[in-house]
Amino acid sequence: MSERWQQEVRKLRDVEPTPGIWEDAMGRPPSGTGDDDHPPTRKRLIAGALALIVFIVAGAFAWQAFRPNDRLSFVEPSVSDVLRIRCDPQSIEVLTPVVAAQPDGLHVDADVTGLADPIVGLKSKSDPNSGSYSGSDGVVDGVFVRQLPLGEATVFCESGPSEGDGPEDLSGSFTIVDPNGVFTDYQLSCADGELVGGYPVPDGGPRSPEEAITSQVEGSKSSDVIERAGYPVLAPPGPIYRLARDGRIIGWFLVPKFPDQEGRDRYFVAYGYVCPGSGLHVFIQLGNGSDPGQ
Amino acid sequence: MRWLAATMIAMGGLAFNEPSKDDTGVANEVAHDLAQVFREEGPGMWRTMLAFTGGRRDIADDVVAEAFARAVQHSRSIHDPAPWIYRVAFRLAREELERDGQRSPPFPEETGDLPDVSGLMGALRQLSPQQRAAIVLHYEADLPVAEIADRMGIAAATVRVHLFRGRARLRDLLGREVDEP
Repeated sequence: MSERWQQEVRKLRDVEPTPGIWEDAMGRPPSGTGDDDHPPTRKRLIAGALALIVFIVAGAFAWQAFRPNDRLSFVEPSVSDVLRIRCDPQSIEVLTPVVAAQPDGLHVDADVTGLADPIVGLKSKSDPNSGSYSGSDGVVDGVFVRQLPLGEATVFCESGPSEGDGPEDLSGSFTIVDPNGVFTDYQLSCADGELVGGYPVPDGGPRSPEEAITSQVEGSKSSDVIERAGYPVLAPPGPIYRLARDGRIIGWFLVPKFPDQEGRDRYFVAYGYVCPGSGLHVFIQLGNGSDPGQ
Repeated sequence: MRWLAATMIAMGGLAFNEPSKDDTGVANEVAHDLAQVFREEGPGMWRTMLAFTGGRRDIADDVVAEAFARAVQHSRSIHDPAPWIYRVAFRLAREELERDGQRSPPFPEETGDLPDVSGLMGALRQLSPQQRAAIVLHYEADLPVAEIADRMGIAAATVRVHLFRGRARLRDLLGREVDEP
């Protein structure tokens, strides 16, 4: 049963948008930067000249690297401690495609030029919920730390609108590896894990991640082993806990903190994945109702 | 060096070629797809922007149109149009509100055609823009948290906090009890 405020929100469905928005969109001139004022031919000349310079420089490097009788040989991509990317309105360049996990997570050094109000986003291919964005905590570019699971991931840049430069959906791939053994794996032992999640608890809530797990994850057994996983040092978005039963990992949960009304740290099970049939789920009492997550 | 000359010519050709008919065909096809995206997502996006701006129909109209216009312009590099267009619209709306110098603008006179939601808009304006957006996307558009995060450009955990705080505030402002049928 929904509450009064929910019914009020649903009334928005009866509000019809202003007619003609699509026609307005189709009739708008392309937005652009000052560069777009150049005639197309001039732009192409500049692009051609730049391409030629890049080609010659790359050729020179290639000659140095692969000339006859040289002792240099092919090497595996080196592992970097920092994910270095370079973004501009037309391209994204991943300078270090293989990155080592650090104790507090993935270190990202973003060099963003020409994009107003940029956002640098990161997303793990193994966890669609892992989307983490640089602008959400005020860090636009420069160095920031995010915690993503090991494996393949993507990074993307978007520009803001203030210079009239349309955002690009630019993305690049990279891989997080763990040569130093800092990462505690929490990959489920089963396939097709089910997404579960909750919300902060009204009137305070758990004061530690462990308390949040204990009070909000239902279906666990006394013999289950619950322990910290992922990165050992805390950083956004928050600590991960894994739940093992009979030696198999059957669930993991992200337990971030949030300040209550008095500014004290509280925790909640934001989301996680559990094995089908494990009986695990997140259940939070919300006032006179409840929310089983999703 | 013949191969070098041939490669340079090929590169020059790529740089100087005019768009072909095939390119135009692809562009039309993309525009057609975006029209479909507009039919499916446009009304919900507009309502979200209406809520995000606290009832500013003028801004909602403008940013949705502008976001779709930019999507058409950049359609070749967009992999997943709906979240992309939402993120652009959010940023445009945020900038419009900042340009007006007020995060929670007064209830505009031109929304007199929204009498049924005037109470809701009054309550929403007492929430932060992020809270308004999260509430509307979740409870009006029925989107799951992960999709809201994708569309707002923030982490899923942050969305849940916005939902929690927005929900608590709306409960205070609009009431918890349910009307009898």
